[in-house]
Amino acid sequence: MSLLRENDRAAIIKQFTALDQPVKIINFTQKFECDSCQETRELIEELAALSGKLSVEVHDFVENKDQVAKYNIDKIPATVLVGDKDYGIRFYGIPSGYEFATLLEDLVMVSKRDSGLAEDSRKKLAALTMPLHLQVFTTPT
Amino acid sequence: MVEATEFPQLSHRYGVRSVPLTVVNDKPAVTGALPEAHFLDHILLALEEGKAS
Repeated sequence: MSLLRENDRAAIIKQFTALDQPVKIINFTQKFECDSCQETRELIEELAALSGKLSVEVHDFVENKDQVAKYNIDKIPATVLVGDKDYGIRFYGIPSGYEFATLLEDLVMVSKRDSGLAEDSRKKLAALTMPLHLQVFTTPT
Repeated sequence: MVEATEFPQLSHRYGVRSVPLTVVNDKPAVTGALPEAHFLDHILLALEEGKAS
């Protein structure tokens, strides 16, 4: 059974016309998938099938230590969006509800290789002298 | 993004009560959604405070 309904799919395909460069979606799950792990993986696979510019890589959190270390993953389900490089974008937990819209927007941003941030914000961020780690807690509603 | 209900230990650690909550370098810093410039200023302020402590 597919997670995306037919009219969702049509709306997403329309939004994906804005995609430009390729984006790799890297998903971390495990052999005995938790409910949200399985749903997240299926959602991402269905999503990526809607555009030739999106590809999916699925890694096992327990067995694939190299990739877990490379992307610094400490919990699952984890979803990483990678363009020309790793921009540090992570979704922990299922990106559903409002966060599904966030995921779609992020895919377009990564694909355009442009955060869409204002010039002033970019200047301030470029002046950072120490690492900045942001975690935004959300709920699916 | 961290889905708060799937990671209750982490939510508890940062005292997540309302969402969105933005945690800056391990410290809860911004509650709610703000306009970009305002949001960034809050983050940078939290970053400075984190450095000082």
